[in-house]
Amino acid sequence: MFSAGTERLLLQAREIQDEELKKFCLHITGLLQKEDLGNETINCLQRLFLIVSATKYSRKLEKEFVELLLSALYFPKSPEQVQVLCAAIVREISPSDNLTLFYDHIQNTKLLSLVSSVLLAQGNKKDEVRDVGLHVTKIFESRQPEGQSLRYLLPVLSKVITLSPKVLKEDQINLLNKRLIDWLRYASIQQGVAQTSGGFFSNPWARQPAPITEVDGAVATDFFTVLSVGQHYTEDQWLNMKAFSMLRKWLLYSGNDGTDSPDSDDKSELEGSIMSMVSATSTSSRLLPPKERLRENAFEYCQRLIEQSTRRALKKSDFELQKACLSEAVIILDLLCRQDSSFIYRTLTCLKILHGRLCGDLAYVRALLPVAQFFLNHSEAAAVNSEAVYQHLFTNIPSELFYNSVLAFEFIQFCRENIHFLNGNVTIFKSSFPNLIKFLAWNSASLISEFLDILPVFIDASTAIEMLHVLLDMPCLTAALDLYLRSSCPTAEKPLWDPTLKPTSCLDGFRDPHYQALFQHLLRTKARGIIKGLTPLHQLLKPMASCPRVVQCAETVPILIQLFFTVVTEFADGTLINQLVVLLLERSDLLFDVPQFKAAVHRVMSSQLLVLCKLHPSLVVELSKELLEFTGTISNIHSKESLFTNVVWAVGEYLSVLYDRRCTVELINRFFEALEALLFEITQFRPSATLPKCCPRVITVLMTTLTKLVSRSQDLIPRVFLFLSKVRSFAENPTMTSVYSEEDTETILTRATELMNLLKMPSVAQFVLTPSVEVSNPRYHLDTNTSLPLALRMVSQVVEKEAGFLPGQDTNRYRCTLGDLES
Amino acid sequence: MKKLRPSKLKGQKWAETGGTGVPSRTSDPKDGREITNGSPSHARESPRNPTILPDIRTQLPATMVHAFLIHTLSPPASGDAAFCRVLYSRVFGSERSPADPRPHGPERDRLLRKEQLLAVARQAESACKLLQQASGRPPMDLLPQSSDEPIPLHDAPSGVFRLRPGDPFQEAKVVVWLGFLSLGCALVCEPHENLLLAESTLCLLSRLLLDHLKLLSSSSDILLRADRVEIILNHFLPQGQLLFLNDQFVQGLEKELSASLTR
Repeated sequence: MFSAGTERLLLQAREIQDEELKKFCLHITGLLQKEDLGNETINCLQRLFLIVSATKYSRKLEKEFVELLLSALYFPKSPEQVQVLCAAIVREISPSDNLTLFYDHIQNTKLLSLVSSVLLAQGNKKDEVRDVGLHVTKIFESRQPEGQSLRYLLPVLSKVITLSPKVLKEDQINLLNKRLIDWLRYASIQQGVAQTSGGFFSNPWARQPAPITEVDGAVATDFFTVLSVGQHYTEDQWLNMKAFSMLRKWLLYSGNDGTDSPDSDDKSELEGSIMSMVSATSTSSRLLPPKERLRENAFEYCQRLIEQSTRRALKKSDFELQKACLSEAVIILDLLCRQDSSFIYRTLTCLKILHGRLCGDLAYVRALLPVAQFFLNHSEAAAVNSEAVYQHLFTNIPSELFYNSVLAFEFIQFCRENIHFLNGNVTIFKSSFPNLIKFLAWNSASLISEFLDILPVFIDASTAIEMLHVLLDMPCLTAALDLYLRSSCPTAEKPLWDPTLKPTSCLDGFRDPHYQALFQHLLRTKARGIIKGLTPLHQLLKPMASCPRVVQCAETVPILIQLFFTVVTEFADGTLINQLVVLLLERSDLLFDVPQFKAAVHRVMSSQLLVLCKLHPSLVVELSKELLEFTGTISNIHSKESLFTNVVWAVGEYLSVLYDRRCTVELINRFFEALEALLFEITQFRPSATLPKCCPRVITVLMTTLTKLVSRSQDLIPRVFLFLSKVRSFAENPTMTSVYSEEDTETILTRATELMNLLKMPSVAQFVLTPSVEVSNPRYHLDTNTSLPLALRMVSQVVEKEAGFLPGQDTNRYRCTLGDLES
Repeated sequence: MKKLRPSKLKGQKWAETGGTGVPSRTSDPKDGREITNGSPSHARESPRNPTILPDIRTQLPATMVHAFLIHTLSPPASGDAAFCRVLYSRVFGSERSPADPRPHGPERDRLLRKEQLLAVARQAESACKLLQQASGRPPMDLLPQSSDEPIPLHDAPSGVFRLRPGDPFQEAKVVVWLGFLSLGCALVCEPHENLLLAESTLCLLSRLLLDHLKLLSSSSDILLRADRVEIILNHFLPQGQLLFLNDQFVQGLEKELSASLTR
């Protein structure tokens, strides 16, 4: 339990000063020199460990003291507690210079393992890993000392080959191959004998070794594996377990030769190795060199594990082990096939049967991914069609098991690691994105960063529109998945959903045929286009909109759509961009009502709208109908201010013949009239409850856009001039000044004045507000302070002071400070 | 209004917005392995096929537990007030051959190691919080804590997440975590570890810690019982090697463990 006391202790340990620590070490030195290895010493060592481990900064321990700790570690009479504490303290201060450990004389394998752990923690600066590796191998080579078990050393070997690839020589590897074969394949199938003292009354029959059994209690049918059960285990059975635990790693290590990269998906390399291996294939395994023989034995071992995993385990923990073993067995078989293609045909039948079995048994579902990986790696070489495997994997698993978070993680890892293959070769993969998104919708907090890696692959011209809908509908999907779980397994012992939430009305709606089509669409497994009108679902699911899981999911959506646009703008053409803009305008209203969700999505939408306009300025002309409709809706100002402002700005910026020759004066006038009416409406009416206060930014952007438009249709100049002066008087109106702050009023006033000044010189206005491409590109100066207001202010000052004397060519220098957006 | 630079948005910025604050992956649009499909008019625009490269796979088998740690889980209500503390940590070996050839002192190595583990603990803590929140389970502190009742570890919040290369370890890692009482336990594994085995091992270790550190009775203190944690790890996770232990093997090891602890 972590309590205030623990916290206090931790802080105390951190605050101990060097002097105090020195004294404490002296005390321990005294105890150790007296060979006092009792409780007080243990107690002191426990505290010392805390002191050195509690801080991230190094604690200084004297060299002599460290050596004393090490000698306590070696000391044969030391209790295990003292030994592990000494080792832990030295490890904790590692890497330490000048650390000398002597272990050549150590006979005790358990102690050797402990000493190795200290050495391996030193960062391999002095080749400690190699030393440990060679020493351990030497013990494997020699006759083991009486009463000492090699089983403590196998994990050391395992760690050594993980840390350093080139430690062992060929003959050492061969020797270890042979020993592993013995342990894996020829462990005793009789139970071990309990190490009781026997004694006078001991029952002689009890010592009779009983046969090993399977996990279901039946007598073992074949050789010993980790799934074999006995009351007591013999030494070789322990070694069997340890050997299998490190088998995958060892096979990779010994089969590697330092050149082959086994996990690479580069097929050419693999094929090269296949050709060289084919000739070495032989079934009479006894004649094979140790490496091949080990592979042969590993193959049999894995086959046996697969067979054993069909048995019904008596104990729950054994059932869990069966699952882990099944996955491991398939992974090892896959590895064997990569290393030696002659295994492919022998493995194929077995894994086909296994796949059939797994499809019907969700308990072993986690093994499906290794199986799929096998087919992915080898179906080409084996000339088999593995469509069915992918079909099942991408259709059934996400939709049925989206709530299994570790499976979801592994599934996305599988996609990520094989993304190039899946994208290029598996047709169902790309179309199953609505299904894969279920993993994310349910486990959004834990999966988002994984998902960002794979999302781009699903986005192309044909899927972009549907994908954007899918992403925007994700929070709604989360709610639907929740209902799906509640209605499909209502009696689950441990609810997979939030038990504090009781969405009765939603659940009724989920079963209501009226909503069926909409739910089916939302929960579809394959991409199949879009349907309009999820609004009824948003209404129905409203009670679930603020439940934590939905909120968590909603928080990831802005990140995803940001990524979506980053990808889509790389390839989108005009047609697609137009579709996307229409979609943005439409969907800005149709969003699930999750707290803060709309605002966050609008932010991304409005910034992306500008990106799209910049890429394809003609959209302002091509989508004039939609844009007029959008800007003509006064409620949009308040419900999505940022998007509205950016649309208005885009109209002012891009509605010009410079960008599209189809832009007529009539069109400009139409926009002008619509925006003028709108600005009139928001400024000439007094603010009331029905029409809340409008942000001054909207007013200034509208004014500027109107001015920009008239600079391209100069007949309207008098009209906008008059209008701007009205706005000026409006802003000075006392009823308005009560609503707007002084600063806001000032902003509006200044902008109106500046624009009016500019309009006094129509040719300058046109030049400033609608720069030709030659003038604006390249933009010599672009920084955060570059903006239209600055340019306006300067022009305004010039116009006010020197009206009529401004030579045209000099305006160039004002041009270069013209930015993209007014503040 | 914030100054917008549409052209800048096309960079690789998105990765920075990822939930974990991971560094952005740089992508090379000229990746030769890209597969283009779809309509030919877009074929020239290569970057739309994401240039996701699989993690740089190591030449070596990457299946081993790199570290084990026990850390605190602050109650959800406490917000930032409570710090996440690493109560115990054990790194098995050290990080493999550093890519950084510059020599650095042992102090820096040690500092880095400690920072890495704290980063893992923090991430595990927030993962646990988010999971608890999403599943509507009562926060840890409300769980029954009477010392007689066994804690249902199979029901405890648990999960897994990936650490990208360079953040905080040189190579990618996968972290399996489990929360019980107000403690979190985590295994930092190499990327291709058998996760089923890692999960069940973590569950087993947690049970053993509960039993042998008497975590339920408030008198005992995890900070001062490192020897017990060490001995448990030496038996059940030797050198960071996950073991395929069936129930009888577990019992056998538990007998050895009891002998070690009472000696």
